[in-house]
Amino acid sequence: MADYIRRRVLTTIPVLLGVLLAVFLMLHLLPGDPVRLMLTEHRGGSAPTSAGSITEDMYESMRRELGLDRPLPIQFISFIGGIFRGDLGFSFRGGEPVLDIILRNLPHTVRLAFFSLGIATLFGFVLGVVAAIRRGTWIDSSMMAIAVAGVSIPSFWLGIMLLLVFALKLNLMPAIGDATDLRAMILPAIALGFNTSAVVARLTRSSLAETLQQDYIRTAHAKGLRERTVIIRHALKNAMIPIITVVGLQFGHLLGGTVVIETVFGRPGIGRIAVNSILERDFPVVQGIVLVSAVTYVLVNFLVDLAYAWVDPRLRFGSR
Amino acid sequence: MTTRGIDSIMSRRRFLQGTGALALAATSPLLENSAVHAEPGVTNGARQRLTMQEEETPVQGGNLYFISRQVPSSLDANVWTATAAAVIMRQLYDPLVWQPEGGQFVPGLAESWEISADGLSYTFTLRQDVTFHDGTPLNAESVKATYDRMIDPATKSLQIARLGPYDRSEVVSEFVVRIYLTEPFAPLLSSMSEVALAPISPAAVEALGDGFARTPVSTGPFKVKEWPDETTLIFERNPDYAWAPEFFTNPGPAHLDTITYRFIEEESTRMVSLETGEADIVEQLPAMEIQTVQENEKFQLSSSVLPGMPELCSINVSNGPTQELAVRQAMLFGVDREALALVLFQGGFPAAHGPLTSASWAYWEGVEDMYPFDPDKAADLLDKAGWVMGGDGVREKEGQKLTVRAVTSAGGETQRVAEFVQASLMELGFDYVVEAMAYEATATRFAENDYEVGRFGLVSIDPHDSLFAAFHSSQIEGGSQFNRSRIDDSEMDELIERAAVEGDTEKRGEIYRELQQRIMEQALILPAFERPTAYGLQPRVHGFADDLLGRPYLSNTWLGDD
Repeated sequence: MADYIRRRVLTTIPVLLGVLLAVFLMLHLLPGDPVRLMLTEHRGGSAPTSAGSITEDMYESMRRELGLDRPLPIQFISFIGGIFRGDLGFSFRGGEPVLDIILRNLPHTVRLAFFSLGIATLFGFVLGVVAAIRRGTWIDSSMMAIAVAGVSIPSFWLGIMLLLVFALKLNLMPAIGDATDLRAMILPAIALGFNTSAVVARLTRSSLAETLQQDYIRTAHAKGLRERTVIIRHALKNAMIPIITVVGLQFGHLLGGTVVIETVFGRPGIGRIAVNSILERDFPVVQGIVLVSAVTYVLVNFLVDLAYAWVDPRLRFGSR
Repeated sequence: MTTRGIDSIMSRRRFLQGTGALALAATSPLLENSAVHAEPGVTNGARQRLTMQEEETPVQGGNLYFISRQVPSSLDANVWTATAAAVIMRQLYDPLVWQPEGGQFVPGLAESWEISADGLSYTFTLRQDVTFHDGTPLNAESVKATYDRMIDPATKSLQIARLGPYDRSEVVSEFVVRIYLTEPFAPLLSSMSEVALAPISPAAVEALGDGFARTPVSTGPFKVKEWPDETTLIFERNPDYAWAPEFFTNPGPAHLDTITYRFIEEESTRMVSLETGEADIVEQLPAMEIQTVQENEKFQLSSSVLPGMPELCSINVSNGPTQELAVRQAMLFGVDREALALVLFQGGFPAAHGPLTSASWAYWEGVEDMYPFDPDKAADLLDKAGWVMGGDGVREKEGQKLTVRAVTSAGGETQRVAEFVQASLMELGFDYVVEAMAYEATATRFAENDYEVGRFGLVSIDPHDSLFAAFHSSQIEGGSQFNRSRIDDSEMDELIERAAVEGDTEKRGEIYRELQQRIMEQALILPAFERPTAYGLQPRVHGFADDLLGRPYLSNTWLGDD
């Protein structure tokens, strides 16, 4: 097992480096000069306010101060070098250390993603189990209709609709609320997790339905066990294996989804920071967030693999 | 003159109708001007309202929820003052001089000031009773330290352009500071009235280091209490505040205990927060919602046209058919600008006619008569210039089609403007291609001179700031790259430069009048509409007033009953 873990950790290093290089290149290839955008305070859509008469000297001096006049390979190497020293650089805008920005915002995103994952898994799982047991009935069809809707509805639209209905019309929930208030997390968590719950529901249904066809289930029935015992003790445990994998992978998906949801609901978090930093071409912040997201993603996948091996003994021993 | 019976198109008056306590203020003659383009040199009436006697006694205390659209990257005004950030910074900083009306200055932290005859030195005599939020006194030394820090490249200030040809500061005595310039710079006092040049506590810069950007220490009526995350920022009253300018209704510490800023980018969420009552004030209502709020008795609306350049289309003189004056003029005659404003904004935004908005002090009314909507004249101009109508409805000349590519930011008003212009000009035989994309991508197209028409608009109190950026030849390739007309005209450069060093406001105004005429004669821009501020307020918000750029002075504001 220790060997397995070590191998997995080593293989993530080239993955992370590749991701960072790709993002670095993408940022520099994107149209829009960060310094020019900063000096002119322009952002899409709105009219900016003049910052006075900007001269080319100011532009050059700012590029120098931000280190953007250096050749690209040097910039990349200094960025990677900084990571090993725990230094992710400073925001172009405001000059705050990138690490501080991330550490301040990451907990909000992680909390929302976990909360959302919890709700989505529970909801999806129950939906899927009921549909599988009542397969072929109207209950099954309506559950799966909800699931199809869940997969197809974009989260930003759902978010706005939830706001309009529950905050505006019914006045049950706060529209903006306090970031740390659990009540204010409910709507964003549903908007964010609806898609995931649909995925979980469909998978639970098919996985459980397939398991229920297995010989050992017939055997259990033949032994005279009650229906409930058969489903809970025998069928569900085996049906869980693919579900765990998907739930784990969905966590990464949810982290990505916060980009949209945090903006719609005006919540703090790294998703929202990522959007703004990309719009503002704040390279160090974008790179820092990508690094953190990539590490999280890799870590979650790794944990999923471990959980998988733990749930399914065949994998643990068979992989040798 | 009262508000009753006036069929207003501007919402500010509607706002005043809604606030009983302030209804008197609507008698200000200034209020009408923002809507109907009256005399130049007069701007909207926000400041006028502040001098009015309030009938009710302000309620002390409470927390105001202010919904802003964009979280500031920094609160250090000397370094960073994005449009949305300055709205917030207004509460933290006091300027040396205030500018209640365009081109008019009243004492702020400086009791008096003197400009040398050659325009090269400015001597400010400071008030002696002012302390920073950290308790240290404001003196000449701290003003000098503020500007010394700004010009240090390591500070990476984005605001040094506001200092113009700044040379150095000198401490004359404890409370007298002199600023030297290398050449005269008429916009300096106007710059001084902005938060960007407000003095800060040098002791706090020393003590806080990088942390200064998040908890700046200045002299304003509020100070930072807490900034827990990217969506929430809380200010608290500065209990020692006693140096408000004369035009504030509240000479002492702010009425409110705290202001809680919440940052919400999503327009519809901002609207919902106003409707659920969670927000007291919502900044920058979406254009399409302004009408809704205006008609809704539940809310107040405060809206006034911003000075500077209106939303417009810069016409590129260095590319394609728009190199020809006749083509550019035909474009101006061919678009009904009044209809544009009416169709796109139901009249909520006024039409623009020239390079400056009617809220700019140097606005010249003459632009209004230069290009009336006249499609026949437009067609005639094109015919005479040899652009003949082809079989496909597109004019051509010597085998070249009358193709004009308009590069604009995608979505929102700017794209709708481009589409309106497109619809109008197609009828005249233009092949008008709208290319809408992300702002950053448009910036690249402009930098590479790959367009005939480019979207532009720039807010500024002093006309120099916008006219220099948009029409000086140095700004085609360099600086802001805002000269999207790509006009390289030495006479125009000379006018811009001459206005910048002219100390006499009257004479400056004359130069700007000439400049506006010249810009329109050459048809360098197609003006579209004038952008107003748009604040939605709960009825419980009293004493709301904002500066020339629509930044509220919240120390006058208080929360009463609904």
